[in-house]
Amino acid sequence: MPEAILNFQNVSKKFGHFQALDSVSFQINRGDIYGLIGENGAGKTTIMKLITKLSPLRKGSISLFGETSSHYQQALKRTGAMIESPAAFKNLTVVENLKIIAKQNGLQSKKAIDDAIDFVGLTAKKKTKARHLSLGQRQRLGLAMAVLPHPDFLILDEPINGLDPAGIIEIRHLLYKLNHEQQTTILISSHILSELYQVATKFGFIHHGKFIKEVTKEELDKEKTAGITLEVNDVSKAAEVLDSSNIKPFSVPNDHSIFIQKADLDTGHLSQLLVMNGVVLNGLSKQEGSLEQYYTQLMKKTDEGDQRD
Amino acid sequence: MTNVINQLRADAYRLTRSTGFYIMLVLVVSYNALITKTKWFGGIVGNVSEKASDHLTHTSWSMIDGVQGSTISAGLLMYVLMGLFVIIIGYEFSQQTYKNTLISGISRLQFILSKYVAMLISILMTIAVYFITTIVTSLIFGRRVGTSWIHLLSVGSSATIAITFFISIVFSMAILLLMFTNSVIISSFFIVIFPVAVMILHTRANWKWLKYIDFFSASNRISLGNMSIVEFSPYVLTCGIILIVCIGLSLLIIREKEL
Ligand SMILES: Nc1ncnc2c1ncn2[C@@H]1O[C@H](COP(=O)(O)OP(=O)(O)OP(=O)(O)O)[C@@H](O)[C@H]1O
Ligand SMILES: [Mg+2]
Repeated sequence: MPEAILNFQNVSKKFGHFQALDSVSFQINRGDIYGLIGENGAGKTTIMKLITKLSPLRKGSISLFGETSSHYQQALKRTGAMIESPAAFKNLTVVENLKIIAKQNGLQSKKAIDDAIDFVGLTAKKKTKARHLSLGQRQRLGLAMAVLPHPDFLILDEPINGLDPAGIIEIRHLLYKLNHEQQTTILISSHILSELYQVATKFGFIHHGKFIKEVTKEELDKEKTAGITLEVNDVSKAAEVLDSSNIKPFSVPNDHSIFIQKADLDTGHLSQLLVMNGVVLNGLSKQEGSLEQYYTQLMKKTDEGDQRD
Repeated sequence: MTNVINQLRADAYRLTRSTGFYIMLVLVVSYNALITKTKWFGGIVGNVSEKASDHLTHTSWSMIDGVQGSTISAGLLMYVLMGLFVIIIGYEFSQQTYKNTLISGISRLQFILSKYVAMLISILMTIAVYFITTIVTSLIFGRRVGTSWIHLLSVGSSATIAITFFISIVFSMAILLLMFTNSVIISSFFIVIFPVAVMILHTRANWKWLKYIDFFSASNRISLGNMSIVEFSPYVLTCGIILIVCIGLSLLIIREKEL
């Protein structure tokens, strides 16, 4: 049995009449790098604020390191977080801001501060006041503050915001290192699946406050494989043929092509089948699935499902 | 308890790193040196007996007169001390660093208490500096003590403690206001407006109970030796109640707040 670090159960959250979270349940196990994916306003930040008690929990239950949220004693001490924009004292330097975090957490070691600065690549800006940091540098300072106390569980809300491509790769690398060398369990959010694809081991999709799906990286790789595009003269006839041979699912992007969402079909057999049924096949190509496609389709399916309800 | 101490250490560190704090100390020292040197007293005064007022206006000041004059003039310090409130708790909210602070594992009660204690200690230090300046300035101008050293020090320290305690009560109300309004500006403004408002109401409206929150009149009487321990106790009681209510309500609000 994997050890649960976070257990989120039937949590709902309302702001006035607005249902920001609707009975959300999920679990994060030790060692996971859990990617929380959702569009703007989906409820990612709300989830993170509930975990860290920045937002009071009214419905459902949350347990962190086995402690329930009404009685967190040690759980928050083992948790580091950067939620929404990173916060720092603007008139203090990078080092001074980290010293404050060290004092708050009762850490003595000076070296830990230098290490954290080094870790996020801010050494050259050590003595710079927070107000004079660039957006990406502030993001890095926030990350340094979150990792300084060596948390067992790290919560990062869109940490990649404002980073340059090199920075994104670096952060990815840092998270990988934290996860592998210090066994830090990580919850990370983004509205872009491909941003997290490279780093996360599990993905939770959240849409309009509902938790719609959870997949592991392997499952995602399997599911996202897109399929085969057929160029035909008569799409309705081709569709009939596919239907009767039970080749599904497929979609019709335009009046001369069909997209079969299955990658492991025998293409020779498929073309033969179509031709024998009188469909003129002008082309056939295999397609690597893109993450964005997977994501948009998932959202679409959910919205359609919602409408049926 | 360790959480509170850790937070106090963090706040102390932050104070020593802020220019505002040093400017504040310079202002306090200059203000008091000016009072002691020129024998001026006043500002937001509260009630002072005519006899005492006459005495201070017409004699050349000894050290004890300096201490009494400084006590009477302490009301204006609120404008400077407001800076402590802004730095210690205001910045946490205006710069959103409360997120880091609260995630460090400190409870809401520990957070509010540590902020109150941080203010209490820093007010105490500042007021002590204020009265020490009186004594040092008097020494520089070669003034006589005017009473025994023991008496001087005891008047000086009881005035320091009383003023500190009273001001901290005003700060506790400002904390509550900050929790309630989310506005650092409104709550700091309250700090400077409070003594003036109470003084005006006290003299105009003639509400007897107001005297228990007319802190500056009370500290004047302490400094001038016009208040006995027995008379002092209802003040302590009133302040204790205000403090508990303010901290309790602040706690309730911050617990229920979307941060
Ligand atoms: N304090 C609040 N009061 C009222 N509504 C709120 C509050 N906090 C969040 N909301 C609403 O709840 C919804 C979810 O917000 P949340 O910040 O969790 O979204 P998000 O997934 O983090 O989005 P983004 O990608 O833009 O950061 C939004 O519609 C937002 O307007
Ligand atoms: Mg967000």
